[in-house]
Amino acid sequence: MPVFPSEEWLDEFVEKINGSAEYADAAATWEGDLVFVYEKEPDKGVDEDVFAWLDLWHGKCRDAARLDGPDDPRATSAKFTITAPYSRWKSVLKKELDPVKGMMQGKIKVKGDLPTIVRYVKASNVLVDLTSTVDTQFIDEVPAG
Amino acid sequence: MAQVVLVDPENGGLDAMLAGLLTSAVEKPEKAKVLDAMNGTVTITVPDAEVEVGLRFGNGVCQVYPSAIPGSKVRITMPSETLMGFSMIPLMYGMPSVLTPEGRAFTTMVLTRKVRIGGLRHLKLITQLNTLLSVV
Repeated sequence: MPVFPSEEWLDEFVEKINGSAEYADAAATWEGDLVFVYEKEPDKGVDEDVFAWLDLWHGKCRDAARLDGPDDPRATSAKFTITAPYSRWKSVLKKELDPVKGMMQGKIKVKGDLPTIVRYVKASNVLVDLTSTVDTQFIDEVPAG
Repeated sequence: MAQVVLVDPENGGLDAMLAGLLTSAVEKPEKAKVLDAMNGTVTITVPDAEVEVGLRFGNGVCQVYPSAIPGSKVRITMPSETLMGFSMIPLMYGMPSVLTPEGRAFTTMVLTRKVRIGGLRHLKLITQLNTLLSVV
């Protein structure tokens, strides 16, 4: 079972995106990459900020990578950046936090063109729903040793 | 010149989202003209997200506050999902068009009081705000 956040988890997520007819439909005209930033929480085993980059194009994920840091050109030029502490993302993945409400409450920060985001709310919701379909083990729940 | 001011940039919630939408809107000259003509205060409440935002319009400036503005001329209350979809509803004369499925759905929400709009006598301010927020 892939550990969140890790490269393996990201690979599984990409598979879910590319296998989703619902996402393909909702994001059929979407063009642009985005970066998810999982902010560090050393007490939970996330020692540094994690940058997950997704190149999303017309309902598919063409490429994805875990970036080295905020200076990676893909991070600096991404169309959208969505940032939250690790434990908030964990709440989203466990469906304990609705991402739209999280954004409105400032618990999840969004950077990018807002009109585009509201045009693609459905696609965004499907994308977030897909995260919860990945069979996930959370890094702070991995048994020691 | 039309200008949008986010009063508390640190908050980064619905206030920042609305400021982003409004800022993008007023980059278009026809929407900048709309903002230039606006005068009054609006409070938007999203009960399911427990968030309130205040908008103060005047002299070509929109100030976006991370809280209600007491005594607002217009008070709009709607669920988070409806608010996120609101910008995508086609408008007719600045109000959601009942000629479209999205507009009819919104009107039904108003009639069933899932969406509440207070201060309807300030209809001009409401239609101007709708026009600014629309991305259709």
